[in-house]
Amino acid sequence: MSETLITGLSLGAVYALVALGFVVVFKASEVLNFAHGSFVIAGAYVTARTHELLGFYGAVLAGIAAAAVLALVVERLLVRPIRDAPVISLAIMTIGVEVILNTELIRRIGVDIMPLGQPWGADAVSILGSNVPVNRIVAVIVAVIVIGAFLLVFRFSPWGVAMRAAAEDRETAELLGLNLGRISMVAWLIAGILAGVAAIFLTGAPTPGLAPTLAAVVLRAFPAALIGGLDSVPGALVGGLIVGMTEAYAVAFQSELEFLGRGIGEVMPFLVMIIVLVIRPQGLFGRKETARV
Amino acid sequence: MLKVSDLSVTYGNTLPALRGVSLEVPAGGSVALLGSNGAGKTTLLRAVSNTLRRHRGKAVSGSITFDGEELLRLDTAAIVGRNVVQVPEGRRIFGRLTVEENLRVGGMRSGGREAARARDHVYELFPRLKERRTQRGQLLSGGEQQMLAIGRALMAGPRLLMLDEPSLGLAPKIVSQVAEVVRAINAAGTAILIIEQNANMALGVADYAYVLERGQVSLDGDSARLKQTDEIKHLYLGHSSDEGGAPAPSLVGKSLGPWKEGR
Ligand SMILES: Nc1ncnc2c1ncn2[C@@H]1O[C@H](COP(=O)(O)OP(=O)(O)O)[C@@H](O)[C@H]1O
Ligand SMILES: [Mg+2]
Repeated sequence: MSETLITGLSLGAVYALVALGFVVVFKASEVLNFAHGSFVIAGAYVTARTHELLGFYGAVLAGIAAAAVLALVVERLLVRPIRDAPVISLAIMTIGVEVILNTELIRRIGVDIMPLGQPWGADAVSILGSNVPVNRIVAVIVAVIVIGAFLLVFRFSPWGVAMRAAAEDRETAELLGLNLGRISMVAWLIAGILAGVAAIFLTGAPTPGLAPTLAAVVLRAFPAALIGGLDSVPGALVGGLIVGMTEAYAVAFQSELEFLGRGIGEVMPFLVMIIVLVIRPQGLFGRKETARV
Repeated sequence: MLKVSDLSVTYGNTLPALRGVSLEVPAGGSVALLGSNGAGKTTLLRAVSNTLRRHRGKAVSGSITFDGEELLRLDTAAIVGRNVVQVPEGRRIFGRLTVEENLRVGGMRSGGREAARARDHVYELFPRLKERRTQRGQLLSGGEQQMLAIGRALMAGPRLLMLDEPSLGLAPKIVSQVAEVVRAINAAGTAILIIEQNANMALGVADYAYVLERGQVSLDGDSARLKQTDEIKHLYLGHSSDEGGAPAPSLVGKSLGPWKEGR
């Protein structure tokens, strides 16, 4: 069963990257950014489009840059001008952005599956007797490094301290001279970067490449953020792992779970989310006040 | 230095919270603004720091200048950049951040070396904060939190430090410590605007004082002289009315209805 465990860990680590971006943006700018999923798709699309020209690693940088720039553009052009609007209006606006971006990206992807050119391709290694795609292992390693780097920045950098202060009390942060606009901008930038990294692994083996179905995959990062608690960084990490594990084990036991219907792997994360929210509306690590947003 | 002229502020479409208020804080001076609950004291500080918009308030007329520059046109961060810094009502420390991180936030606008020097200075002023520097703000006592709030503001290198009811909810012994610290800060050259309901404390700190009543300045003068007036004695120093003869006129029909800060 070690294959399922590694699949779950790997999926979980990647969902955590995506959920982390969602949570950081919420903490820094009080926006529930439902357009976050399209940052992942945009990153994957640019990587897929450029890997022949730039080589894989150049294309990865291009994809990450594209996701980051897209995040900044959405923040500056769409969110910033209406930042005093009710939280709910902003959230629905981002859903609109998501629909528009995804429609366009999916139209561009077409019916084909676009490879991103990961050099490890569909290679697999044997671990404890089971075959594990190299993509899964690289995903875990890279995600752990990226998350570790993020946590260091979050804890020690001036931006990290300023961001946590602003998340706690925006008015007081401003009274001490912090520029909330800049804090928010950096948060969106970081979210875009995390999305661009996640894109590489969500399109790798066993997935054959970038296909329109990526939209549904990315959607599972939202229950990850909610399970952990919208305003909690550790929550995003734990939530990501829970969703990844749930999905991996649901797929592994698909035949036993047949009576629940097909596609159980896709549904389970949302079921888990509903159960967690019924018991703890603020999520596992969230704070009560934000549950009422 | 700070000059508020004919300032009027309204919240939403309600009655004005400030009406034609004028006051001045000279360079290096210390000025108190007294007034009971709901008089408009906090509103004045919000106007100076330009945070009224957050509370759906608006300065409808008048001006606020600092060294001749109009503050009403600057945003909050830029005003801090002019070294006009506020210690907000209720201390508002970041409870989940450590003491040291709270101070870091205050010093974020200045360079690393400058911030380190400011922090050493704050720790000298408040050794208690140094002892507790790795603890979360929420674990501090009320007095320590007030010290942290003042220290955090000092990190921003204020030329004018504005304190909104620093004595609120503190034991008398702590209140006199706070007063002493504020006097020391003033003696070191920083101008002070201290807002208080505790007139005893504020008049002990400030050279000059204004009294705000229902949004208007009703009285101002040197602290020493103001202490002697009947109105101050009646309203804020807790003397009984037979001591000062006839009741002060401002007591008549005075509404002291508390206004709870709701966010
Ligand atoms: N956000 C707000 N919305 C509406 N009215 C407010 C708001 N804040 C303060 N007020 C009103 O403005 C007046 C002055 O309040 P405030 O400045 O807080 O007084 P003080 O600090 O002297 O106790 C009060 O009548 C209060 O009800
Ligand atoms: Mg007040």
